[in-house]
Amino acid sequence: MSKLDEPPRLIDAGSDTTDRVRGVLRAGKRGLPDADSLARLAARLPLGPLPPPTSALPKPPLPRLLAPIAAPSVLPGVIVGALLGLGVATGMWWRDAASAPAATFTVASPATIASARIAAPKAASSLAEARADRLDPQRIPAPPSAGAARVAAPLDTGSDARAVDAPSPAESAAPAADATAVVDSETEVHLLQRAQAALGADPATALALTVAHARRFPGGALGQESELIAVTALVALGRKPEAEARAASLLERFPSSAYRGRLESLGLGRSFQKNDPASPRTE
Amino acid sequence: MSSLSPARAEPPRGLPAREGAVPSFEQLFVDHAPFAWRALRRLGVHDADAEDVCQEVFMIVHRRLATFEGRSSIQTWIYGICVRVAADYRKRAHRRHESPSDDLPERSGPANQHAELEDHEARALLDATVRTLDDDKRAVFVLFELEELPMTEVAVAVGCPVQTAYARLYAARHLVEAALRRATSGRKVT
Repeated sequence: MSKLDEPPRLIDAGSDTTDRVRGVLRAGKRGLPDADSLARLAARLPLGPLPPPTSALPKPPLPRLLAPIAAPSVLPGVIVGALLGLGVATGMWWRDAASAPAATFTVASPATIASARIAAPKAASSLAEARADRLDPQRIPAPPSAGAARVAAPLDTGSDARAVDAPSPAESAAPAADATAVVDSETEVHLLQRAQAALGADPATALALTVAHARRFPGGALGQESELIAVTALVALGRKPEAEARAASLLERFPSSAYRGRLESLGLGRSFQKNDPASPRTE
Repeated sequence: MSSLSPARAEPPRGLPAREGAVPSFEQLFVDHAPFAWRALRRLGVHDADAEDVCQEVFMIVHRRLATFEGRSSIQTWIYGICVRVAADYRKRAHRRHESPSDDLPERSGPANQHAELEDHEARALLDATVRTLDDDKRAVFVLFELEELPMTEVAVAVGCPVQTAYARLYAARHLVEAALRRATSGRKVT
């Protein structure tokens, strides 16, 4: 049935209902999240620099959300800090850790940063505090400070929300006495960030950190990412049979994994045939 | 366009199936997160949980974007994920915050309160009304009446034939409109 055959919506003036009912429905349509909420959400997702909205899409009533983007003449440092904290930190790590087909993160340029001011000053402030905390090497092994920004980790369906610190690029540069040590306060994201950072120079440490990840976060939301790092580390260590077995196991558990191509590109000597049972209801 | 609905001044939000490259995850977030959030709220996600559940939706989007095959529009695909994640959420979380109820909330406060408060009150009324619907009717009602997807896209998002979607819509409308009429009798039009 074509759209032209559709009945008028209740909210339309031509529908057979009352203005009071329409008023309630209109209120429902106005229930969009505010900029603070979206900034917090953005900080919890593996996002790179945020682009402006697609102009082809209908423009929603988002004055509070997009007003900063529409006025690029002011670029306070606090907004840049928020972007770095919200998008670039997570986005750059994910870009490196998971350059799967789904991920299209790019290095942030000043222009893209300037165009991606979805962050709210409040979020910027708290994230800036958290980043400042981590820049102090004395605080690295210490329990998280009260002022540290805490956000929920990515969720799998059915899991409960867990609080983790937002990752910071500065953390990986901090010296550590034992590269494979895991402190109780270390978050899942940070642990895997360290593993990813170690991959190039010290794959054994990277592998050890993925073991630590599995032990520390047995139901972690980043299990696939951890396995990807482990497989890559095993390849680097020349342990291809193990790498192949783990890659096959990963794809067996997650047939629709976005990392299939990445795994296949590791030169494991076999092709992981896709047998995607993805529900047709969700593609 | 409806003079009563500023959002309807825009083109229909149902978009054609994919043509060309799939947008980046960042682009999808910017373009669709506010609407996904709103849809989740109307689909029964508690305000305190909206951020968590919306994150869940976009993590699924992130993981599955590479396998998106363009059988529907991206928008419809995301709404479909919202419908299923919200359904899962209600199964596991309604006990924490609220229980579905046939009772509509009492209106509180004078009719001349601030517009924002009235909006909040109206949304609470709408949510309570929509909550009385079963999952199937609720999804169709929210996507068609509030998110303004074309019915063909609604059917794809909820995974049913178009005629079934229409049947659910009419049943949902009957219930929601009657309840809203009763609840808003004497109410100021906003």
